[in-house]
Amino acid sequence: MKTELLSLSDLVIGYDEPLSDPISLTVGPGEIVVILGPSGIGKTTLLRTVANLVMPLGGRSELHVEPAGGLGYIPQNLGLVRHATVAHNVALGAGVRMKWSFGMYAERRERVMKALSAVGMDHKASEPVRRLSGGQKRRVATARTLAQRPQLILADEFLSELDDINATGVMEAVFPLLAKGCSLIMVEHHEEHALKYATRVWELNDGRFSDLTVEAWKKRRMEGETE
Amino acid sequence: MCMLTAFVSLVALGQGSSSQLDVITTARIVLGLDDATSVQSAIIWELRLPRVLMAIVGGVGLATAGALMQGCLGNPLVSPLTLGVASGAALGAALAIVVGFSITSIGAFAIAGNAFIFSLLVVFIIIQLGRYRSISAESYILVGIAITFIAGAVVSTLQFFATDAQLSQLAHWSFGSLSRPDMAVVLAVGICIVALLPQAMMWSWDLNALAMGGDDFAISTGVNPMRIRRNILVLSALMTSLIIAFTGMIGFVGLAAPHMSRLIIGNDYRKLLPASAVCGAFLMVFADTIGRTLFAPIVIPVGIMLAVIGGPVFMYLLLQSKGVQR
Repeated sequence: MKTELLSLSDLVIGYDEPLSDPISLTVGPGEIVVILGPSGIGKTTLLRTVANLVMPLGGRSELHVEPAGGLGYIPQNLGLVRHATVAHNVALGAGVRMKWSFGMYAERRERVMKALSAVGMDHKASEPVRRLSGGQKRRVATARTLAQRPQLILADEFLSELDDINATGVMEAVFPLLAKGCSLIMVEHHEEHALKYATRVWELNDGRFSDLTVEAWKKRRMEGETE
Repeated sequence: MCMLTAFVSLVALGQGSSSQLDVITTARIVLGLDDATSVQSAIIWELRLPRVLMAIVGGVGLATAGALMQGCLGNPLVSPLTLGVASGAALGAALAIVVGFSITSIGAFAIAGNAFIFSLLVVFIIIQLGRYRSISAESYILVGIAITFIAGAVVSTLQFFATDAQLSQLAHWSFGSLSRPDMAVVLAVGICIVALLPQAMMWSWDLNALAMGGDDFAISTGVNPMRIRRNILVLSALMTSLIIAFTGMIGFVGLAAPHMSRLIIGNDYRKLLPASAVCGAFLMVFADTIGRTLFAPIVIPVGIMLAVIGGPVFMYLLLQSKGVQR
């Protein structure tokens, strides 16, 4: 059994033209990785390539998680069913990794309510998603992934549209899962939000990819500003 | 729908050229109310029952395979025929009939064995090429269409060099008929199809996620779209190959039955898969019964009857429905 959850070897991302030099790295349990870089540089493409939604131009991306539900993915557009209720949307995530049993429905309901209360949305369980604000929708999408109990979460700007208090609340809701060995890879525009929790930074800039610790990234940034 | 299918099946058992066996007599014998003579017994249990059972098994398998393919590729026009599975089977059968090339060494199963293996081979190629080019659903469909054309060209070339007898055999195979399989084959195919159905049902949740919003939505609910698409393609190809290897080309039921069911019960695959299976069985038994009785004693192959009867009904249903989309 491999300990790493993700391994990239000479991965080249892009659609027609390469967006980065070859990337080789691994991600182990309990890590929080933030992908930073200017807009349009390929951050989302990297995340989608890792999720196997986009074919790489070269190299390999291998996920070492359970095939059914081991990967949690929060897309930029959130992928919520607008006309369905909040609880129903979260149940879509909860159902994937559950084996059939007589108590399955009760367990699923319990999981849904637990995930919703973790992000502070349990009072909106029976509301249709279309009536929620942008920030509330992000919390529902996060709750859906929490209910799924994945081993690796890929999140595309899931903290945007959230104020400081709610962003902290959402991250705190993810922590218990991280403590159990789940890892989080997120694309974030709000550096201060993300860097507060990150253990690692992947930076994409001008086709160059860097895998840095948070301290190394901050140091490089300061040096760049000084120059 | 189940009751209707059972009723039509019972009527189908009573339809045929024998003057000794009308519908009522057959129904009384089947229900154990009357004793059958040896001739009646042979006609019912050895001739008509395998045919009706094969119609039910074939309808269930092909309609379920069609619904699975349409769901996992997100395209309502997909069926075992359009995806090249049937073309692979035709190529295998043509090779066995014209060239005498057979993968299986058992003479009686030379054509069926070839058809089965070549149709699975097509799916293997589709999956491999689909992965090579891209991983979208469209790439699987496009590769399937390309293979259909290639297989069609090879079959046409083989027909060009075939003798009259071989051409006749090939044409007969391509019509799709329920008269070929005997009871042992029907039971074997039936057991396999019944064994595969629970797996199809287990993937209905994943299919719902794929059908609701495509790959991005599916993966956000924890469903791995690439893996589930590959698995479902293999399962549906297995179901299709098992049936058309023994019956020949029967395509329409795989396209029409899921659509007809969708118009009645909606898009939830937890209900749509069993509904398509029952609808497929009904369509097959009904079309075969009409095909056997309309110009009796001439039997029109079920593949032709399905298109003749089902086509207009299908178009009527589609034109009548308002706003029911896949």
